[in-house]
Amino acid sequence: MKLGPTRIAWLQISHQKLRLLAAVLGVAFAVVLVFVQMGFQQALYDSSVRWHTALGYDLAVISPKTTYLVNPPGFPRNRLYQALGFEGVDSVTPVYIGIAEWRNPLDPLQARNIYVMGFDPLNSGFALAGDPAQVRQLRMPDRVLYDRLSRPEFGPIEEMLSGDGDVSTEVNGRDVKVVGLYELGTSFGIDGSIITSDLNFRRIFSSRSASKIELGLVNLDPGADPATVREAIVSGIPGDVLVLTRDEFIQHEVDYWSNSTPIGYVFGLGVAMGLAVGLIVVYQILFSDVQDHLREYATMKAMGYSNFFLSRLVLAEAFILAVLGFIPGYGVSLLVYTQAREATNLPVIMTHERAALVLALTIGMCAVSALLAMRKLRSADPAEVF
Amino acid sequence: MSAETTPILVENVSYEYDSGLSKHHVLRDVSLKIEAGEIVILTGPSGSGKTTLITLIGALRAMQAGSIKIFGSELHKASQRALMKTRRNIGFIFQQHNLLDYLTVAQNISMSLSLGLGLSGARARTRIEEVLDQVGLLAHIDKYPDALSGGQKQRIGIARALANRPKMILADEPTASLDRESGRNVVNLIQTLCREQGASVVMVTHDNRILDVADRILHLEDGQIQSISAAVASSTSQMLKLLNRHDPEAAHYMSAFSQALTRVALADDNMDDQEREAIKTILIEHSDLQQSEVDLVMEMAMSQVRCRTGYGGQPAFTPQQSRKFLSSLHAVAAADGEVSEQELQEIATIARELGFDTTGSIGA
Repeated sequence: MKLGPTRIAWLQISHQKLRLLAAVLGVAFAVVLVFVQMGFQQALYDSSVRWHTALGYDLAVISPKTTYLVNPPGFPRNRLYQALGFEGVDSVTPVYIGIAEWRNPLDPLQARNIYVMGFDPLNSGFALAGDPAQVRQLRMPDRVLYDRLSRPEFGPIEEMLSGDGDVSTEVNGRDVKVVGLYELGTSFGIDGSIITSDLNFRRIFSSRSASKIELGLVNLDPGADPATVREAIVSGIPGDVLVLTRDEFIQHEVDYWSNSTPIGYVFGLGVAMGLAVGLIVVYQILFSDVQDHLREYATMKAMGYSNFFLSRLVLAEAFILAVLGFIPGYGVSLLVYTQAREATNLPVIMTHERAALVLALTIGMCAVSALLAMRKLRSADPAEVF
Repeated sequence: MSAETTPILVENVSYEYDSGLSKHHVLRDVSLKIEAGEIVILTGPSGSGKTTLITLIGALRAMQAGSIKIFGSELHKASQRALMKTRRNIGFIFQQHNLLDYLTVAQNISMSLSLGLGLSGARARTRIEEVLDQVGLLAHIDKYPDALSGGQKQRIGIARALANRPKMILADEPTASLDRESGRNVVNLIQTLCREQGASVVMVTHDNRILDVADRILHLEDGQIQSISAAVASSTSQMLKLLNRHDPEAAHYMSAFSQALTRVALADDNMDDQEREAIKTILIEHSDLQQSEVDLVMEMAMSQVRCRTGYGGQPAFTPQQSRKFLSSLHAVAAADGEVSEQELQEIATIARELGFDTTGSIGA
């Protein structure tokens, strides 16, 4: 029965069950707070790049003025065709993007902004839009595909389609017919979306010209190096466009959300707040624990135990609290994630990486609390037990 | 005995507390030596510095001036680490038991075992059982301290201190929180077990009832070690004054008895233990005195008898003491201006009674 600092720490904090419960709940609360903030933050980033990851391309061409993909400014379509001439480029797809007003087919008074993407159905890059038969239907005038994960406020499109098979509504004052569904999901900037052909796009947005596009997709020959081709294109065409690889394009969007909007900052702050709350809770618990056991620590010092031993004891307590608090915190977070996912259609998903990160943060948080509480250990004066 | 094996050697130790506004000298130039196996009780009024002294000896407090050697190793200016190692060789018994209440009795004892003897596993368990058996609490080995009485906890504290077989035990008011009987048991236990293990004991106490276990009593007053006689004199004279003030009748009654007893004892020039016990019993039955009062009367009478007869055949006073005694008496006689013939005769009688050699005595 060797009594190391960890064993003593466990015996000490498990001796008072209610206190242990309070401590564990405190840590669990902090863990949930951090998980939720991180979950939403990641969901924000993941959802904002849904299109970036779902579209098929090797290089993306956008206007340098594009801040984010929800409402990008246009650039000359010719730039994309110019890119077609470079070594390694296989094909290009001009993409039109706009925000249109969608009326709920069941409740026409309810009009909401919907995200519209238009492309030539003959081009590649829109595997997400469904099988070729479904895409082919877009060649007919005023036909659109609808994202079945759009917010319910747009109407029960999916149910209506499977019912009588015919859903018509008004987009930007023009009658359109939903001929199929695809699956993408919402983001913080986009509540719902439709995909249509380039021609239909210009019917919905009658003032747009065909020569101005918002996004260009470039597909390369197999084996071509995206970075090399990108360099070639950038040096060969006018500088009024930005040519980005997949990763850069995704990063461009994430950078916007994390740096240029308050949203990234707010979530970052939320994580910090969660850790701060946890830090204070754990510190408070450890501090009062050390305080309550000062006499015992002083006795141990008198017996010949070192400060180092006592520090390890407090650190071990912190570690135990971290692990014990993490487990219920993780469980509750999973529930919160599920709930949030169902309510928002945002990709709030637990990953192993995040679980490991939060566990590490929790242990770190408890360790810092322990270091703070250890200062109190010095006041355990062995001369005072006499 | 060489310095290396002297358990405690204190030389010229002073200590002061600095409250910022004033300095308070707690210990002034204290020196003492405690031999192996000796049981020493440190008494003194509160604030006399005894706790400071014992914490210095226990390496629990940084020294300021002087030298303390514990088993030959100097504590003054020793590192924290060295002090910590010294402490591991000392068994501490605290005023309150200071057991860790979240550990069982066995675990509490093993806390000290794993430090000192470095025992663990089955051998530790054996030692724990052994030492618990010695304090008579083997049945409680797996209980928590909360389930035990105050006296039992203190006995566990003793078991913990002794488990390592330290060569030195420091105890601070071990009976303070205990009733008379458990206090007595605890002290007897400390005495017996320390004798068995040959450990030196320094015990701080206020409790006069336990002084008899000591081989030696050190009395601290105002930061200095005083002779036992000065200590007893100061407290006794104070107590007698109090008695005279609050219950003069009892005081007179008792001193009358003590005088009478003195005369009776001197009359037959012999008073052995048996006779003393007999007198005691008679007095308790007939005099209306409490047992403790009879003890006092006897003690006062015996001290009178002893000063005339000496003890163990030795004369009661050395020639030097005799001379000082007589010159003091002459000075007292001369204090009122003149020394009368009557006074000189009285002094001569006293000197004869006490068996002084009056030849060549100091004249008037």
